[in-house]
Amino acid sequence: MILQIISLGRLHPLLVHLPIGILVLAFLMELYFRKKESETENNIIIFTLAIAALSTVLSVASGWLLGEDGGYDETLLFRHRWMAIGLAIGSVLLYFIKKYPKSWSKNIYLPLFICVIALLGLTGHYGGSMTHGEDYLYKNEKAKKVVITDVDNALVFNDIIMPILDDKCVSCHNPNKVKGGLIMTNKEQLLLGGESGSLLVAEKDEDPRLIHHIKLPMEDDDHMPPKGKVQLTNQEIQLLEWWIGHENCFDCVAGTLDKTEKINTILNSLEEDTSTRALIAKKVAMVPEDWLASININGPIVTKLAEKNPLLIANLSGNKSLGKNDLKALKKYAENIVELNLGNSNFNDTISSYLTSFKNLTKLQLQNTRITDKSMEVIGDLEHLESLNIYGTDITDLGLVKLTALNGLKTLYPWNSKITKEALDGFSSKHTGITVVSISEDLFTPSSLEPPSIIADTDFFKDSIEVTMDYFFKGVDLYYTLDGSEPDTTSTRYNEPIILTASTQLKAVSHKPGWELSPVKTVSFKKSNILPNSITLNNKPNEKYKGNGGNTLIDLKRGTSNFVDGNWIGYEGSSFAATLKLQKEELISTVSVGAFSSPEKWIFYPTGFKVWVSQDGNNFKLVHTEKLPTEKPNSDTKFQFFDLNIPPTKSTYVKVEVISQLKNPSWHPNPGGKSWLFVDEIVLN
Amino acid sequence: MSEKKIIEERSLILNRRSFLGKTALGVGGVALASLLGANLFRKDENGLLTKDDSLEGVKGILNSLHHPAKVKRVIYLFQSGGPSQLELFDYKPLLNKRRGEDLPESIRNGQRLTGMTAGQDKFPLVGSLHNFSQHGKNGTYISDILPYTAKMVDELCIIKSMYTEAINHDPAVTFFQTGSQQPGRPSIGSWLSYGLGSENENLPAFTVLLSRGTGRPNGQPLYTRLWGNGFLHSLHQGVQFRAAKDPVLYLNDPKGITKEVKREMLDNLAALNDKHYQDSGDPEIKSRIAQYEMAYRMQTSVPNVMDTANEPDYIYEMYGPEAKIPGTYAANCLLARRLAEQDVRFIQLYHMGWDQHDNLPGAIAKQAKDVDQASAALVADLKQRGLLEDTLVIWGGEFGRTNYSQGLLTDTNYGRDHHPRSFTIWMAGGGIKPGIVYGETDDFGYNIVKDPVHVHDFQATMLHLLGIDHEKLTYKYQGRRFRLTDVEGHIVKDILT
Repeated sequence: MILQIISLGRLHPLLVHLPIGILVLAFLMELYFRKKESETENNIIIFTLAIAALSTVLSVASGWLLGEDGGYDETLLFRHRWMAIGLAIGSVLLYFIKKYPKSWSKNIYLPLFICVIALLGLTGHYGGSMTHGEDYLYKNEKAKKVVITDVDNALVFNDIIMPILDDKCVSCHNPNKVKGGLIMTNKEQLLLGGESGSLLVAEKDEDPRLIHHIKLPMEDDDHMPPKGKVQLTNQEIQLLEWWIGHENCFDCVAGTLDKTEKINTILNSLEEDTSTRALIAKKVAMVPEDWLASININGPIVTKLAEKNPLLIANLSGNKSLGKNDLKALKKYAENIVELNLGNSNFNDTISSYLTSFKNLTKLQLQNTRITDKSMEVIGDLEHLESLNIYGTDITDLGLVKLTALNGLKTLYPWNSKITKEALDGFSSKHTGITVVSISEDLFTPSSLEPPSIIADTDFFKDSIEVTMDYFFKGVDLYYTLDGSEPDTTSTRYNEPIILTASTQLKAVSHKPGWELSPVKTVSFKKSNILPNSITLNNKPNEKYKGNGGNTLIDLKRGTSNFVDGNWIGYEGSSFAATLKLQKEELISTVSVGAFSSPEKWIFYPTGFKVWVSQDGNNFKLVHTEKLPTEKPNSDTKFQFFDLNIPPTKSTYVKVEVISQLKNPSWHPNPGGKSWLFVDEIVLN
Repeated sequence: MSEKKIIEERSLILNRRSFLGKTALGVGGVALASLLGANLFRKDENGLLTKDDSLEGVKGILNSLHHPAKVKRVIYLFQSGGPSQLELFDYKPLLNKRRGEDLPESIRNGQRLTGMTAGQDKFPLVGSLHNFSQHGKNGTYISDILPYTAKMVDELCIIKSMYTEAINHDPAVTFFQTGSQQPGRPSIGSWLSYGLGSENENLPAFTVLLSRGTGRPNGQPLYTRLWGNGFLHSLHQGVQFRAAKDPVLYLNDPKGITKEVKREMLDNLAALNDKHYQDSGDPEIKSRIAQYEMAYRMQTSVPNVMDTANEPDYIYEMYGPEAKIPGTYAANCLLARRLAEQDVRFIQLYHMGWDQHDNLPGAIAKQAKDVDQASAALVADLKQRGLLEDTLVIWGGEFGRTNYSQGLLTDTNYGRDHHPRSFTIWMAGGGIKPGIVYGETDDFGYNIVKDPVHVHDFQATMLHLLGIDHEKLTYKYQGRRFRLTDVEGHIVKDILT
């Protein structure tokens, strides 16, 4: 029974608003109808006062019962309770005075009414203080809010947990309203716990009480926050569990506690963007689209950082006719511009003063411009600057000093400027927050020299040939030999083009003082002084690689590493023989056959040659047979001459058979497939 | 298409045309007026006339970015053919230990094979013949055949857990470049050109540079549709810069044609084209007019970019001596930097020859030598110029290679087949955490065990860095809205700063 009566007290928050509204209404009507003295209006006021008095009494009764529940600040409760009783008496009195007017009472009616209204205000205020907290009226929400900029450095309790408790728990668990004997406003009180025991320490396998109550089903009477109050979000519950899981550490920093991926995500979502740009964005107004359109009429210059973002990026890079008007044109919204690229333009000291209006720049690119230290004064005043690019400028150590005032500077690109290394080292040791970007000088120092390039029109020639040599970089000496020996710095030094008049193997190296010698480059030049008149092939080359028929072999045009260049003739899965007819009888001692190999493309070197000679073209005499081993596994693309030395013979006809291996070897990815033979040039000497 | 439908479609286009003609944006007649109105001409740095209407196509469809961008441009060093992650980045000593053993079925787990190894009755595991050593602050393992890349490892974010759906070159490259294995969709660069336009009105937003590898000189070919515009306007297609006298084909004027004559010719041609456009309403005509104008401006801008004669020797020493030979990967890397300096938005390099089905150990060493120094130099060069801060550099191929040998496994030789389930790429630049390794494969280097990154995730992340919400950059075609990431793609937040 007692419990039921007490629970009637729960009606207090409902009832309490009736007298407030009705009493005020009665008071206003009294003022309004005061001059009229009409019966009807009087009755209305009497009726209104009647319900006001009744509701006041009911409110006070229910309030008394609710107060017995406990958990409220005693002082506040005392004041609220007795003021309310005074208010109840006052309103009942008002009713009776109005209903049964006496001459003595007429004069105290209005002053009493005013007192009642005043009392009403005070009672209401104390009531509000009890439910919402004493500082409810004046506390500044924003000032109290914790702003986390780097969640790793945030204090777990102060910055992350306490704001949740403040937000969701403290309205009922504060020194003024101590529900369940629990106060949650600070560390000490949290550790004390409430009536039912410790809040944070778990019993046996159970959740700590804080989590337990939060996780109870909504219908459960013990669920916290009570049904109808703003509930904790899933994320907040996870954060509380995470914190309690680390023995509810009060002084820990978020970065040092281990955390799951999920917690990490939640923590990151707490971070607020307090970057310089975000702060600038709050200060400046949006830029009208038509201004942007007018600026960009001749090509994109100014772009918005993003949609719904007032910040701008201006790019005037590469503009060689940049003048002050170009910068003036931007002046109207210069404060919106956070990034300005003037790189590779003719920006210079005479117009650098215009930079002053771009006072919110966080990134400024001045690379390869003609600015000097004079402009650095202006740049040193750009207080928000975070990234400055002055590579390729004439700025010296004196200009660098001007940057010391820039507290926010994070990155400096001084490469190829006139600033000395010592000054930069000093600068970066003094300003550890600034990254002075440079790459290690020896990072790309070549570890070895490349062999020289050997340049000639062709690999072989009739009478003589001019050969030149070159190297990519200056300061490299080239040495060569012509006798097949390995070249070194004692060999002939290359000064001018070499004229070769005989078949020669040219070997060359590059040399630079203090460096290791380059690998040797070898190129063979072949003299061919016996020119055949005509050539016949015993079988036709493959249709796809037929070149110019047999003439391809004697046109003195060497096939290249690209076997489809038309200077090679190819045979698929067969050998072939060529018969060369000379203009006149000649003494022949060497037959050279050029062949190509690229196993990946199923092309292999020949496995043998046979050479016949003849005086008349009918009777051929076999003078040479040569067998070559099949190629070892490889995938290289290469070509070379095979020199066949025959006993010196005078003859008019020479027949060469080039023998194919016919099928791909067993190591080939497609063993047994028909292999190819590619030949270019047959040279007689 | 029925006749009725043709008429309907035509009237739709004409309606749109008349709408555009009346807007101040000035396509239609307004555009023509500005084309011919001499007072609207302006002179560029060389005193040449340029015109405003021709800037159509310079502006992107997105009025502004969805969110602030971390990078303004992308240099995509595409390694075509499928570089073997096991010889370059993904160090798997277990494969050396169990060399020659058959790949356990529990690891292969039904993975589909290409026609090239499907017939093999054994899948002998093989580890890298090239050694790995640790580099950088975090002791990241990098193959010894990438000595320069190893030196830059503190700048790179190495993703070891890329995977794709395709298993052959054409669909796999197409998938990376367009988000679909089937041909016909726009390439990444085309999407960016369409979405963001060009930051430099004198150069296309999307340029392409090709080079052949020495590891497999005549390996997999590439096809121009990989930098095609798909269903977007053709002015968004990638422009290939060749390593020849004419970097861009047909760009130079024929002998005897002066700039003035050319200008006059273009004006008259534009007038004719515009008349045709008024009649037919074909939007491709507008593309064509814009392209002529772009080509005209590129007559000056392209030679400037391609002329590397003034690059100092130490720059060539950085990129390696090959950088002096036009058409090499190193020369293209140097050009890529020059294009980045000119604010070209998407610079696509392709280096061919990574398809080592056989003779892998030797061939991959050559391939690695082709790209190692220049790739590292590019990152370093961008860095010292302050460009790395807002450039994204990506190095990677279309898939990886198997952990078992294709063909005969000998002491010194083996090959590897295509492997879509896991492979490695690296990124560097703005918004990317430097010096980290993301994702992990199992000890066999076959399956991903941590943080998988799908091709669409990669694309979504790239667009995110550029300030684009990958779900919002769409183009309606044939009744549906298409986007680069199709219907998938999650931003890989963990690699972002």
